[in-house]
Amino acid sequence: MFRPAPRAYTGIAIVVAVVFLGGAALAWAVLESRQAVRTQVIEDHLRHALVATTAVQAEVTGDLALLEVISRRRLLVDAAFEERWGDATYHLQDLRMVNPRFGSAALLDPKGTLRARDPEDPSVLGKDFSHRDYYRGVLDARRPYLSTVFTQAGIPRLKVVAFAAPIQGASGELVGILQATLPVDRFEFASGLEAPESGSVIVFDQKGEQVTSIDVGGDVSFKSTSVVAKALGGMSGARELNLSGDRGTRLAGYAPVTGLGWAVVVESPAEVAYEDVTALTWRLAAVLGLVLLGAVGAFLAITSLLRRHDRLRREASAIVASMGDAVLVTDPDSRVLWVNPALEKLAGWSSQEIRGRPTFETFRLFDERGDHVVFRPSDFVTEKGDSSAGDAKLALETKEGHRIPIHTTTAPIFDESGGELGYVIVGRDVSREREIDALKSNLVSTVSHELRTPLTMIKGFSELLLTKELSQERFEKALSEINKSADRLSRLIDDLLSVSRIESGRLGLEFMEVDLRKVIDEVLRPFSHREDRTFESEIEPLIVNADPDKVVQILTNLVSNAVKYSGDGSPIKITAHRSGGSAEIAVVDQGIGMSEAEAAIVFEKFGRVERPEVRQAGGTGLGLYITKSLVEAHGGQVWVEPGPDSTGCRFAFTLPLAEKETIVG
Amino acid sequence: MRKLLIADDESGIRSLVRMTLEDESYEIVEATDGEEALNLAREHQPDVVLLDIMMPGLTGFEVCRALKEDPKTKGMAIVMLTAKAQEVDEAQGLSAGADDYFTKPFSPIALMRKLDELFEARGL
Repeated sequence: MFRPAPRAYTGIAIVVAVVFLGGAALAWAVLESRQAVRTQVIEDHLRHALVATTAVQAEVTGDLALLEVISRRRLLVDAAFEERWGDATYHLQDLRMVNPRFGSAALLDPKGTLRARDPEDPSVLGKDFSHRDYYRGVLDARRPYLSTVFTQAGIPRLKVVAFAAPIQGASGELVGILQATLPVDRFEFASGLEAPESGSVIVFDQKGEQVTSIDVGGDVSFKSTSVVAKALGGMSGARELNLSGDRGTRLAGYAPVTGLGWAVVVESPAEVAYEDVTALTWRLAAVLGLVLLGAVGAFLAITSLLRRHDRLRREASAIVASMGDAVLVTDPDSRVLWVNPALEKLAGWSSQEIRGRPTFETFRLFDERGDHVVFRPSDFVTEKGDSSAGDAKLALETKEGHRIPIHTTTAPIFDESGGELGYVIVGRDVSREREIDALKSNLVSTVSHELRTPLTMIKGFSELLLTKELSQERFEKALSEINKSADRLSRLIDDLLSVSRIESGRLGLEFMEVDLRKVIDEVLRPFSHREDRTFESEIEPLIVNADPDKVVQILTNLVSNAVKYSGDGSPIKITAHRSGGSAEIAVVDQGIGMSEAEAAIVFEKFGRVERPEVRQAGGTGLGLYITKSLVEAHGGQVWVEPGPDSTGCRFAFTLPLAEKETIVG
Repeated sequence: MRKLLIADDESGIRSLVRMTLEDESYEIVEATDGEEALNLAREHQPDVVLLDIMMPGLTGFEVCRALKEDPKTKGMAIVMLTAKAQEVDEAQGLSAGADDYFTKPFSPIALMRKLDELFEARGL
C-alpha cells in the first residue's frame, strides 16, 4: 500500500549533489585564489627588483655623470696632457667635495700608474693599477665606467666599487683616467629601498659578485645562482628556487641594471612570502569546512527527518494494514488514493485497480430500501470537520455484486492552514451485528411465543378448574395439560440455559471412557416404556472418550426428535460403528423426513422447519443447535441425511474413540 | 347453538377453548392452520372465528383479511387470539378487519364474556 516516496530519495540525492558540487566549487575557489595570490606575490618580487634596479641606476648614473663632468674640465685635461699631476689634486678634492661619500679620488696616467690621490697617500703614488677592472673598462669603452667590487688597496676588508672616466686630449687621445672609489656600504639607494619580510635586496656586479645587500635574512648567498646569471644576461623575472642547505625554498625577483651590467635580486623565504596565501588558504579551507559541515549537518538532519517520516508512514501503514476495519483514503475530489487490505478483501477490488477512480463509482452504496446512494465523503462530514458516523444503514456493493451491510465513519484530513487534503473513510462490515440483531429479535419473539403458549394453558385450565364444575374426565384432562405445559416451560428453560452455556464457552465437559452400548440403552429405556413403538439397535462394542451426561443429552435430543416427527409409531433404529478413529452413531427414523433445504437449516439456532407437522410437534428450535454444539465440543461432527422419497431421515454424529476403544464381547 | 371456529396450531389452546365454551351451547370446529381455517369457515359458516396469528402457512392476519373480503364469510365476527403482545400487532389485527383482539395468556371467563357481548351486539 505505502511505498517509500521517490521524492525522499530524490531529496537525498539532491543534498548529496549539492554537498559535492558545493565542496568542489569551494575547493576550486580556494585553489584559484591561492594561485592568484601566489602570482601576485611573485609579481611583487619582480616589481620590487625593477624598482631596486631603477634606484641603483639613478644613483650610479648620477655619480658617473659627476665624474664625466669633472673629467672634461679644461684645466684637468691640460694638466693631464702636460703631466702636471700635482695640479690635478684640486679637481680630486673638488670631486670628493661634491660627493663626500667617495672614499677616495685618484688620477691615473694612460698606462695605469697612479699619479695623484685625495686624500694623499704616498704609499700608492706611482703604483701601477692597470690590472684593475675599471682601468680595463675605461680603456676599452672610452667612457665612464663602474667597476666590479674589489678590496681597496691598503685597507683590508673594505669593499669598494670604483667609478672611472677617461680624460681625453683635444684629438681624443687618452691622457689620464679619473677615478673615485665608493665603499659599498655608502650607496644611498639602500636607504630608499626596503627588503621584503625576512628577505633581502642584493646587488650584484658584472662578475656576479655581491656588491651590497639590504636586510639579508640569515646567511643567504645568491652568488652563482641561476637568477643572478639570468639577470646579468639581461633578463628579468621572478621564480621560486630551491637553495641547498638550510636556505630552503626562496622566492626571487631579478632584473638587470640597464647600462651597468649589474643585477638586482629581491628575495624572501617562500614560506614567508606565501604567508598570506597560506593564511588565505586556511581561511578558505575553514569556510569550506564549515560549509561542508553545515551541508553534512543538513543532510543528516534531512535524512533523520526523512527516516522519521518514513517510520511514521510505516507505522501508519502497519496500523492501517492490520486493521480489521476497511480504510479508504481519498483526495479532496473524492478520488481513491488508496485502500487497506481489509477493504480490498471486503469489496473485492485491489488497490491498483481503483486508485484514482471516483469513490462513488467504485464503492456503490445502497440504503435500506435498496436505492443507490451517491457516496460523497464531504456529505458525511460536518462543517466543523468533525468525523461523523453515518447513521444510515448502508450496504456496500462488492466487485462481485454482493451487498454487505456496513457502518462508515468519515473524517477530513486538513493541512496546517485548514485546507482539505482529502478524507479518511473507515468502514466496518456489520453483517454479523445485523445477524445478531435479527437473531436477538428472533430469540425474543420465539421465546416470548414459546413462553406464552404453555402459560396460556396453565392460566386457562387452572382458571377453569377454579371457576367451573368439571367432569372427572375434563378435570383430569385440564390437570394433564397444566402438567405438560409446566414440563414444556421447564424444557425451554433448560434449552436456554444450555445455549447460554454453549455460547459463553462454559460447557465444562468431563471426558471419560464411555461404553456406547450402555449409554444408548440408558437413553432408550424411558422411551421404550413410554412409546408404543419398536426401537432397533445395531451397536458395535465401542468405548468413546466423552462426557457421559452430554452424550445422553445428544442422544435424547435425537431420539426424541425421531419420536416427535414420526407420529405413526414407525420403528426407530439406532446404530453405532467404527469409522476411522471415531465412533459414528446414527438415529434413523421413518417419519416426515425433510428436503435438502430444510436439512441445511435444522442445526441453526431457532432453525425450524416451517411445516404444520413440525409446528404441531412444538419446540424451541434450539434442540439440534444444542446437539450440534455438544458434538462439536467433543471434536465430533453431526449431520443429517434425508431419507428417500421424503420419508424419514438419518441423524448421525461422531465421537472420538477412547484409547481402549473396544470391549471384547 | 352458536357456531365457533377456533384456528390454532397448538392443540392445548384448542382444548382450552373447547372446554371453556362446550357447555355454553357452542358448536365448536377446530382448525390446525390457516388453510384449514379458511376451508372450514367456508364449509361450516361459523358465527365467530377465533384466529391465532402465528400459524404455519397462512397467518391469522391473512386468514382474517381473506374472510373479510369474501362476501360469504365477511359477516363472521373475528377475534384474534395471539401470543403477539405488542400494540403494533393489535393495530395490524384490527386493520386486517378483526372485531376484537385477545392476547395470550388470556382468561377463559373473560373470553366467554367477550363472546357474549359480541353476540348480543349482533342480536344473536
